[in-house]
Amino acid sequence: MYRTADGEQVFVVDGHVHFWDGSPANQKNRYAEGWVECFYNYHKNLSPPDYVWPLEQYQRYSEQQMMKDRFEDGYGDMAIFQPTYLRDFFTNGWNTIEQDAVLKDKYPDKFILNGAWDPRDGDAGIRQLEEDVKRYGIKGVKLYTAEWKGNSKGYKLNDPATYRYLDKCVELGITNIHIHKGPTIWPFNRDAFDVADIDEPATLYRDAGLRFIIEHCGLPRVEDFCWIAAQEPNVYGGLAVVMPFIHASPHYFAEVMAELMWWLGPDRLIWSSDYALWSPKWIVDKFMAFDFPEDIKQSRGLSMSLDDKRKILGLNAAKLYDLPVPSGAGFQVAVPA
Amino acid sequence: MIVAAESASTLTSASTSSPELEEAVLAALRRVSDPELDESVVELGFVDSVHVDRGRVDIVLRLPTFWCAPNFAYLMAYDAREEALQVPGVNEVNVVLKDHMCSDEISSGVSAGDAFSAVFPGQTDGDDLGELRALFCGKAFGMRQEQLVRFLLDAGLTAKEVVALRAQDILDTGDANGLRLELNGAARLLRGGAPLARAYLQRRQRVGLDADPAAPLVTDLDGASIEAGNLEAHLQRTRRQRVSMTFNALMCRGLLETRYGLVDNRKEG
Repeated sequence: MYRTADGEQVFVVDGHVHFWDGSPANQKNRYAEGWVECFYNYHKNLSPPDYVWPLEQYQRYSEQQMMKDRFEDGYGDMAIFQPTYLRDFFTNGWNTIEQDAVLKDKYPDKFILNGAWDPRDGDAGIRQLEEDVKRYGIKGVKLYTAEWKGNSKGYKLNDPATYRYLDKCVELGITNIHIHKGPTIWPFNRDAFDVADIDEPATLYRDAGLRFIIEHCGLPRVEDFCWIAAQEPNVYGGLAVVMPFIHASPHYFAEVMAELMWWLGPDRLIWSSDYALWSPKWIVDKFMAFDFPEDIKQSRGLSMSLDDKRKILGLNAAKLYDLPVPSGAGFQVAVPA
Repeated sequence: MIVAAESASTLTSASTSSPELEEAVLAALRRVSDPELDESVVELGFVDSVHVDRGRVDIVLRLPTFWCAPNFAYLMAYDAREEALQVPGVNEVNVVLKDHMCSDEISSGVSAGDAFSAVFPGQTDGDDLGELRALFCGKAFGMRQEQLVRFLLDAGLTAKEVVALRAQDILDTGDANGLRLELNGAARLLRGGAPLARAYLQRRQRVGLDADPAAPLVTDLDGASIEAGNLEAHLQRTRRQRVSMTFNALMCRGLLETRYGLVDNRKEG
């Protein structure tokens, strides 16, 4: 819980966290090494100096470290695990549901455990999904359309094989579909460069109740993301990677937030730290102190109220995952279905 | 041999080096831009080193991450070779992209002058990388246009005056004092606008809109004029593009600096 100087309480749900294993022992190949190096550079580049870790710690951090950063220091009430498997690179996977479940079992009130699936896994993947629902009761999944799998360098969200899995999600009561659409890294031409494949499934599965949370807001294709999100009321913006720019380039952070507030508004933005990419404490502190600069206020007529921040920092996620919000920490938010 | 000033590279060469030709090649590389960022690869720090030995040029490029999209990397490496080949006295150009997941394929493919589709079969839709290039040329056009038009509006022009400008009304973009243009039949000097106008005119030419000097200056990508009442909505669309591109540029610069231990000279703007 975050408390303002005036004693106002803000319920904080971190929408995107990891408990990964990037240690050399788990790295299969040079791609694994490149992956960790890239993540580490994101961390070093955008964190305030006091929050930069040594590489070894970053590769594999302890449970104690995570609980302290995320909940003791970082104002966290709850956090959502978003698994990313990458078995082509990491022997035991980068951040699997099994790894995350260890902490979920130990701290059931602190974590929401999400699963993951990949349409290229065919029947076996469907069976696995059914088992994960039975075993962990998951209400959300994280998809990584750019993941490598053998010769395949990715898939699209509007592939027929994907629809089969989305149908399964509807059947199993998995309503929150988180999709990684972030900075241009890989794979090749086919699907790395736009968020366009979200549009069709968002329309098709709207009545069935699926919500599509676009992690990283499609960066750097914010314009395409905003265009789709403006039309599709069940598309949300996940603010992982957007947030740390609040420190590195505050004015640009404000410009991006201006676009997001203009096109989506405060009811469809989900805050997150992307821990352990970045530590939550400084991001929450800076976001609570944030206001649009004068030039943006004047040219766009936008504001960011305490209630807007409450929605973004926790209440929107609470609505998606039916989380109990302590009395005094907010209000019932009307999030469009 | 030219080595990026900040580079930690310790490469040395005992062979003959041609400093003048190296400068000429580096100047040529300034014309190569990252399509996604619309900035020169030299300015971005992507040129690690340039070495010329008896007409043979070796260019080493580096990128912000191991994962930078291979098709963009290929475009830049390919353009670097093409531009270097234009320099008088250069007969052969080899490009090496270092520290990248596709270093070998891209380096050997580009140096042999192969198309992306030949090196990465099945990884492109349509006509090799032409569509990708065209897409980002269009975005760059929109971004530069928005910057110029915002400048003109800030300088006191009305929306009506802006949309009435013709290409030939831009009289001079080379004046250090500012942008000279013709407005309502009289010449005006607007302080500070020349670089913005230069950048816009160049992108406008690149998308093929420069044929008719009497054509409107501010148009959509198809060359259709904008009505004064629609100018603000038009600018909003291009602003979203600029926000994306600038955000990415900040990310790329920062990651390159972090990756290669360069001085933090990130600027907002």
